[in-house]
Amino acid sequence: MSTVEFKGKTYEVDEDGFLQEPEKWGPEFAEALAGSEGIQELTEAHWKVIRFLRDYYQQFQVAPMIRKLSKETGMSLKEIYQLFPTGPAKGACKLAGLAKPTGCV
Amino acid sequence: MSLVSVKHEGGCVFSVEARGYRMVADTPPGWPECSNKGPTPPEMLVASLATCVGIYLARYMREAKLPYEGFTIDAAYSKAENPDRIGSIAIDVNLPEELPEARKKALIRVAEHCTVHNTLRQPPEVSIEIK
Repeated sequence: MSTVEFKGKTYEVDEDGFLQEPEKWGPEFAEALAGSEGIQELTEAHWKVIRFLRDYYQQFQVAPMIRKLSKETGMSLKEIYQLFPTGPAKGACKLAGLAKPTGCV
Repeated sequence: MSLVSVKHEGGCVFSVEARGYRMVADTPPGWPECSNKGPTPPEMLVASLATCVGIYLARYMREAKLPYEGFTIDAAYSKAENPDRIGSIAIDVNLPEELPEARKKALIRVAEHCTVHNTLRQPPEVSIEIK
């Protein structure tokens, strides 16, 4: 377990940077970790994906399938990966404060 | 059908050989003993589906005289648990020119009939023996 500090706030994250206390999530958490996910600046397109992920997760307690994310945001797979170079599961879900996806590589 | 041979090359690196062609599979950064020398096995599986879809579509579009030169395919997958597996795969086929909806539906039907897609729909019997 380690911590991330940003703008006077401290977040507990696991070894891969996933937020351990989801109730502490705020936009500044996404801003804090964006650089480590290869994102220079969070644009409105990034926030559109993050907002959808959070809304979906709060409703279903699970991350949406990639096609659902693509359809609901109106973005192609390529556009999503261009926004989040480490991928929607690792990059976007992490910034959105969702639980770490588990499973094989 | 050719024999596909896989050899452990140390760490998580495996060389794959089929009909004299060689590929390498590995694990990404963050995994123990990872050296990131090639795609992961799930990525290879998804690539297999995407290329099979591509082959079927290219053949169909050529015969139908549709514009297809340089078309691209993007594929992504989501994981699922219990047991660990690929839970969903999404494929975007990006054509060089916009086609009517009826044509697009026909292309989806063609793509869904490719060998790898059929295989995922109707899983094969897999037997593993230790020699």
